[in-house]
Amino acid sequence: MTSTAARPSSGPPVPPPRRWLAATTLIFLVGTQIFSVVTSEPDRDMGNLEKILYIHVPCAWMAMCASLFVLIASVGYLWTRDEKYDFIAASAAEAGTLFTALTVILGSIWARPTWGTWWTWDARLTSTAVLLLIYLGYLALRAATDDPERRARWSAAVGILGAINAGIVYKSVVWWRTIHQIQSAPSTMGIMYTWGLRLNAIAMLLVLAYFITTRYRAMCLERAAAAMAEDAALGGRVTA
Amino acid sequence: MAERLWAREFARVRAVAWKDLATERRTRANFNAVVFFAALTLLLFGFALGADTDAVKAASAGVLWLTVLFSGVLVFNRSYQTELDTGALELLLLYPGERWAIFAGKFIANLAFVLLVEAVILPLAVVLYHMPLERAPWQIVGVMLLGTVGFVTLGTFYAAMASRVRAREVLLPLLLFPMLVPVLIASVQATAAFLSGDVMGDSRVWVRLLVVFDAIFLVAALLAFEHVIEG
Amino acid sequence: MTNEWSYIIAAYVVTWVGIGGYALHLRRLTKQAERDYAEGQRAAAERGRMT
Repeated sequence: MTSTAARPSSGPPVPPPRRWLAATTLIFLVGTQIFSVVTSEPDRDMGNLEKILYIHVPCAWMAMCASLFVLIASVGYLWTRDEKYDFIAASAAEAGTLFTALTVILGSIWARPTWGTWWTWDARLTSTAVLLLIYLGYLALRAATDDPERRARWSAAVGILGAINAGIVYKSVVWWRTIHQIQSAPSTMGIMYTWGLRLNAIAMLLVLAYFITTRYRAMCLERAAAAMAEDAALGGRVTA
Repeated sequence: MAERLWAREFARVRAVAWKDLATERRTRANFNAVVFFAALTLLLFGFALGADTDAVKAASAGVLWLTVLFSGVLVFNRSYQTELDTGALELLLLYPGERWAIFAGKFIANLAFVLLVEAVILPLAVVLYHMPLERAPWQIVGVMLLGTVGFVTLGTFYAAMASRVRAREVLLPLLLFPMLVPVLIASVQATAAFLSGDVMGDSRVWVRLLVVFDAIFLVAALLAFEHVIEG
Repeated sequence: MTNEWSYIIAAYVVTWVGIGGYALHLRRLTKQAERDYAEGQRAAAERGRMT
C-alpha cells in the first residue's frame, strides 16, 4: 500500500492543448486590425490617430476583464482551496499585467501627438498606471513565495484586495483631476460604436482567452512534472 | 454565550496590542529611529523643493503625507519581527481563537505608534513649511487620523506577508503604496483644502472617500487576515 | 500628417511586440513543461517496470 500522507499533490488535471485557438486568434487579430485600419475614416478631431484607440481601448477593457477573473478565481480559491483556482488567478494576472502595460504605453504614444507630451496626469491613464503597479505587486509576491500553498493563499488575499481597490483608485483619480480641471482625455464616445472597435475588442478577448488557457495548461504541466520529480526523489511510486 | 466569546476575543485583542506596545515602550529604540527618519525626510524635502517659500508652502500637505508614508512603512514589518525571531508566531497561532483578533491587536498597536510619530512630526512640519494649521486645526487632525487608519490597516495586513519572505524591505512598499493611492490623494487634498480655508468645501468629498476607504479595507483586512497569518 | 502615421505604426509595433513576445514566451514555457512532464512519466513507468 503506497503511503499517500507525504505525497505532494500532482495538481489539477492537465487540459488538452487547443491548437485551433492559437491559429484562430492570430488570423482574427491580424484580419481585424487590417480591416479597422483600412476602413476607418480619419476622425474629425483626432485624425488618423483614432486608429491607435482601436487597440488602446480593447487593451484597457481586457485589463479590467483580467482583473475580474483574478478576483473571481481568488475568491474561488479561498472558498474551495482547490489549486486550479490559484492557477487561473495567476494566469489571468500575467495576462492582465501585459494588457495593462500595453494600455499605458499606447496611451502615452497616443498622448504625444495629441497634446505634445508623453505623459498627462489624465484620470484614466494615471489610474491604469496604478493598476499596473498593483498587478506587478501581485506578481512580485508570487515570485517571492516558494511554498505553493502559501503562495496560493497569499496571492488570493492580495488579488481580492487589489481588485476591490481598482474601482476606488479610478474614482479618486477622476475626482482629483476634475476638481483641478486639468485637460481630460477627449471622450472615446465618438468611436464607441464602430465595427472597427467591436471587432478589435473581440480579437483581444480571443488573445486574452488564449493567454489564460495556455498559461493555465503550462502551470498544470509544471505542477504535475514537479510532483513526479519529487516522488522520484523520494523513491515512492507514482500514479500519474 | 456569544458575549463571552466576544469578551474573550476582545481580551485577546487587548493582549496582543498591549504586548506590542509594551515591547516598544521598553526600548523606544524603534520609535526614536522612525521619528528621526521622519524629521530627516521633512528636511530633505525642504532642500529638494528649494528656497522659494511659496513653493514650499504649496507642497506642504503633500510633503507631510509622503513623510508619514515613508517613515510609517518602517513600522509594519517590525511589528511582526519579534514573533518571527522567537518563533512566537506559531505559538500564537496554536491557541484557539479568531485570527482577526490578532490583526486587531496589531492594528491598534501600529496605529498608536504611527499616530505618536505624527504627533511629533506635525508641529515640525508646521514650523518648517509655514503651514497655517490654525485655520482648521481639528479638521486637519481629523484628516490625519482618517488617513492614518487606512494606512495602518493595509500596512499591518501586507506586512503579515512581506515580513516573512525575502526582500521584505522592498516588497512591503511595492505591495502597499499602490494600494494607498486613494488615501494619499484624499488626505493630501483634504489637508490642503483645510490649510487654504476650504472655501469651496472641497474637503467634504475627500473626507467621505477616506471614511469609505477605511471602512471597506478594515473589514476586508479583518476577514482576509486568517488566510495570510497562517503558516 | 506623415508624422501622425509614425505614431500609429509605433503603436501597432509595440502591440505586436508585446502580444507576440508573451505568446512566444508561453510557447517556450509550454514546450519545457511538456518535456518535463513526459520525462517524469517515462521515469515513473521505468520504476514501475523495475519493481
